[in-house]
Amino acid sequence: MAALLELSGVTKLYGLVIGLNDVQLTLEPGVNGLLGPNGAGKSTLLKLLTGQLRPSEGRVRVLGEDPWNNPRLLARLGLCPEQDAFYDQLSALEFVTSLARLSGLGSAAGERARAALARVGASEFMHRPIAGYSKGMRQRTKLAQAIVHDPEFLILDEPLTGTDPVCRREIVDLVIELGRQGKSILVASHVLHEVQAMTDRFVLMYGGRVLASGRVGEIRALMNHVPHRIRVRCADAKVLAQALLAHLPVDGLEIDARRGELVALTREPSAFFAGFPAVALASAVPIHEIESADDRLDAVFQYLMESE
Amino acid sequence: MGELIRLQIRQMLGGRRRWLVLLALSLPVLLTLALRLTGALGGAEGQRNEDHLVPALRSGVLPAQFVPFEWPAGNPGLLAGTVTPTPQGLLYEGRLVQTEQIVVWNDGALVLFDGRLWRDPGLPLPGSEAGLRFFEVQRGEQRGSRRPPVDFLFGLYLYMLYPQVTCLLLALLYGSSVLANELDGKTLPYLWTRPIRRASFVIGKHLGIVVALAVPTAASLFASWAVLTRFEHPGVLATTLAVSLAALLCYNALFLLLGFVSPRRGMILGLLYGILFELLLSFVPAVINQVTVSYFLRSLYLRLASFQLPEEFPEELAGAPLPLALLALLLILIVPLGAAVLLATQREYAVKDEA
Repeated sequence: MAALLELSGVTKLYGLVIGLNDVQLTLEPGVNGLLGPNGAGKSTLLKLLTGQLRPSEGRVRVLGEDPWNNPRLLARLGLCPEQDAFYDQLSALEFVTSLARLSGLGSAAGERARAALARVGASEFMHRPIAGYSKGMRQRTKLAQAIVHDPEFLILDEPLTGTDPVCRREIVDLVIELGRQGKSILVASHVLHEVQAMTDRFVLMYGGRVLASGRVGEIRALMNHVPHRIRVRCADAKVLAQALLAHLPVDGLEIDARRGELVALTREPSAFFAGFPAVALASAVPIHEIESADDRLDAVFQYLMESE
Repeated sequence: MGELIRLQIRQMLGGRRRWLVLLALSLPVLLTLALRLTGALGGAEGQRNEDHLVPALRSGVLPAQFVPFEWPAGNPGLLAGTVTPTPQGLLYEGRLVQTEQIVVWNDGALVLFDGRLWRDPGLPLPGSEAGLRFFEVQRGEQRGSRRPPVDFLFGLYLYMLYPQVTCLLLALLYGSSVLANELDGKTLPYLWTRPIRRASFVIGKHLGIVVALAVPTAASLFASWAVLTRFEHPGVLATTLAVSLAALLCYNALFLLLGFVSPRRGMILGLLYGILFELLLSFVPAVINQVTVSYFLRSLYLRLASFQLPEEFPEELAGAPLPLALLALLLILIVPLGAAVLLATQREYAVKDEA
């Protein structure tokens, strides 16, 4: 099976400004998150993937094909752009039907547009002009036009921006459902927890470069030089801290005795977790909660950005 | 491509500039109406009056509706203050008009016959100098009217109003900004990430604009023609319609190309081109005017209409034979569109990021 996308040595220059800097990236089919702060190069990357831009250097392949001027490939892609822009005088149904026709759906366009709008929860307002829509309605309409032609590869650029919690939940559920149905999806966002709800596979970007890609755990494993942070909530943090220091490979400790919390720093997380139950039992300190803070994506992202 | 055309038409129908189009297409009708009401245009009726009146006067018969007309004392400017009665006759524009001559003013509203002035109460007297037309015959023998055929005058008037000015401005308004609107409105990604060829995009947009402009232009032209000719000379209407369509097709292709060359400055470039080449240089009676679209549009107009041109008409303003005019206009349509397609397939036109 061809890779979902493949970028080899891709650089994109806007005059003297670098949008992407020598990016190497291969993604397998499935749901992937594309994360990075504003200006990281996410939008440039998505424009290259959808044939809106050409690389200054390097090679871009999507589903095995060059996306520039490639209608055959574009028929297999769906894009939900970041821009909150529409032909405002049209209704959502007219808008999505029109774009469905441009995707080659012909006489089925109207029916498919209704189905897509129903799927994103837009049936209720789809006959009204878009000009009067709320942000959430507009996001749903954008999503509907992206899925109306049932693309193999769906690219969503900041799909949750400006949505209320209900709309956000529905969009997340839709992405998860589409992923389960075998669609490949790339979700770009600068809000980490939004994407975490959809997938555990990420590409992290910063300053026009890809910092890392893979599952959160895999990304974390690449950074063994950075200690893992393990947070423990217990009845007596001081006593437990002494026990951990004495018996486990701990490089540092942060204690908040008043809240009964400690954070252990270790470069050998496997040994730490293997020995922790026995040490905790021997210390007789009740343990309320233990979590590896490094499994949280924002922590990983923070590490990577700081190391750049 | 059909959907692109339809979408473009929908955009234009709902866009803010539709009011500008409505205004641009109302103005020629209002102007024609105003000229007609003030008598500033001779019009079909005036020509018919003169055509009937002059032979009657020549044979010594004054039609019954004429009543004696006393020139207003002090010459209050009814006839633009240029006619002065004297004992020797009427002094018109510094020239003495002999009383044995027959003089017909303003489509037969006022005549000098048998040594005195008569007016037809059924026709308005002109209120401006533009309305005063001078037609001179000598008793018994017409002294060679220099007045051009009326259908030529009507055609010239409608040509100047529509293909020469209105079509040019409307095409400038939409053609030069069609890409910029998609970029500024940030809607281009919806279209350019669909499986459509860039050539289809360019041609679809072009045809969408032309169709959306041609229909109201035809309606406006019909109204102006009806007011002007009172539903006579249908050939003038048909010819002007055909040439207006050709003007929209050619001008829009040119301006669309300028919009692809420079989306941000396309309209300024188009405006400069339109004023300099199409409205100024095209009327210079020298070879330079042959590099303008207007030259070939005018040539097409005159060849299609088969007007009997006035003797003094400067042929070099519209000298191309029909096949050459058609070929030139076809090239003016195809070459800019081809260049725009080339740009669309080679250059990047991406909307700016929200961030």
